[in-house]
Amino acid sequence: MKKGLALVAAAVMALSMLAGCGGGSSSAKTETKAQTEAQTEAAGESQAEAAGTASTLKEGVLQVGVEIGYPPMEYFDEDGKTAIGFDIELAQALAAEMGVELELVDTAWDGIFAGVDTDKYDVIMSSVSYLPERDENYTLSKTYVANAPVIVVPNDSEIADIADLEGKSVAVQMETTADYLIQEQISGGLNTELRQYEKVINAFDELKTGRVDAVCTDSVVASYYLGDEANNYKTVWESPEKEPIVMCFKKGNDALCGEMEAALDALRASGKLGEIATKYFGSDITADLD
Amino acid sequence: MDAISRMVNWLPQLLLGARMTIIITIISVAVGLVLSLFLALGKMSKNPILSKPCSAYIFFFRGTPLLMQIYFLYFGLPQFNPALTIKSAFVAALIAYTLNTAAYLAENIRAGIQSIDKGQYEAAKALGMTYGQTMRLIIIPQTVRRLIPPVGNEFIMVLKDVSLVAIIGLSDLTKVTRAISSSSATALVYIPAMIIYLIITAFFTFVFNKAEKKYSVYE
Repeated sequence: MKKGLALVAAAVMALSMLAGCGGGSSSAKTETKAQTEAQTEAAGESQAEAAGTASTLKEGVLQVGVEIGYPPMEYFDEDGKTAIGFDIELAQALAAEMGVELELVDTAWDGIFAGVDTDKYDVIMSSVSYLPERDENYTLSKTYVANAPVIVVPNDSEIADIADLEGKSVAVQMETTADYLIQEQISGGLNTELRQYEKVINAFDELKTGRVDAVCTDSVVASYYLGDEANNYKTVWESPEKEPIVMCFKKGNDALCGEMEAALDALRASGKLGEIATKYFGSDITADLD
Repeated sequence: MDAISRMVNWLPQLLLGARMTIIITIISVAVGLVLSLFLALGKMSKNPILSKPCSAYIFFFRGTPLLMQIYFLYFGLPQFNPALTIKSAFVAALIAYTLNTAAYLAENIRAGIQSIDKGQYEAAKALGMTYGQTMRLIIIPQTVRRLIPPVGNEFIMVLKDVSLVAIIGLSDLTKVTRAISSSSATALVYIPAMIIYLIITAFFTFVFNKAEKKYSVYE
């Protein structure tokens, strides 16, 4: 939602989301030739391409660039200074798996990509969505978690699918992927009352007071905003159009990308990845990324 | 010409939003006016049991942002007690705007009543009228005319304040305008939207001017 929502890129994404760092990315490049107007985040693409392929890890410290302020992916605990969240815990687990120390570099989203280009940190783990133009300018890992619009309803609701919203009301945050998704459904003939709110939290407030029948929102935020009441609600539908979230490296840093992907695989195999996902999302949404 | 045809295409949606804006404004100001009369009389009362709560009410609603009042009424109250849940956002908006505008109108009414010359009260008293009779038969009819300009002013303020209802999911003229602006990726829609606001304001200004003329025959 916040980070690089590109509806137009959805189709391209679906084809190339699992391309990974090395070989597969060329197909993504050819797919995206048409998108000449797509924004380019790299300040100097050519320099980035000229960068070496060796891991940039120095003295056994993995520096991770992250914009801390996007719950539940990365945010500060109630004390206002302890970084927590899915990305944070995953980074800690990855560093432990790789046998290196972790250093989090809190940085503004604006300029986060320039930071990896200038070696301020080795990798960005900050809910970076896969975008074809990012794939051209950076080395992206395979998808480690995917975001998708989901429909959340109370446990006793009879709504079991997006089509069941017929004759019901659904709350969304204005101008998000979820909002556009429901609007598309309405223009496609679905008769549902769309209630738009400025904040995600208000859509959930409406659900909790029973003033709407369902909420449509990003899968990664759904359980966070349900908070203590998460057990009273269920996710009944998930969009097939997923927004893959990847680790982002300086272009050509295939060595570190490969190393971290291997560590990620190890965490998945050991069940640690699923454990962290369940902690933050209420279920293991890293299990089925296809 | 393309711009004009686009603006015309947006009109049906904009007018639907304008309808919501006008309905909320008219109902809240009308109901608020009744409520405000009691608040004004209460605040002027010599009995502290009446005047203190009325003063506190006016102080609270004029002293906190309307945005927060709407937010609290709709999202806050249910969290204190589920029984306080207002089912409909529209009803919640009507309540919030009525309670808020009543506080402002009460001050207008109080000013209107206190602007009537003291001699009028004394004359009424000399005729043996009670306070209630004096108010009902002498003071308030004269106050009405003096009240029309500030009430018209408050009406126009509410008309524009209704743009805050977007936070509780209602679609007034401003919300519709913003939605069109973001979906069509142009700020062009603000032109017809502002024209609609001006037309509404012009119409009600005309109505209030007429009323003022009608009631000024006694002056």
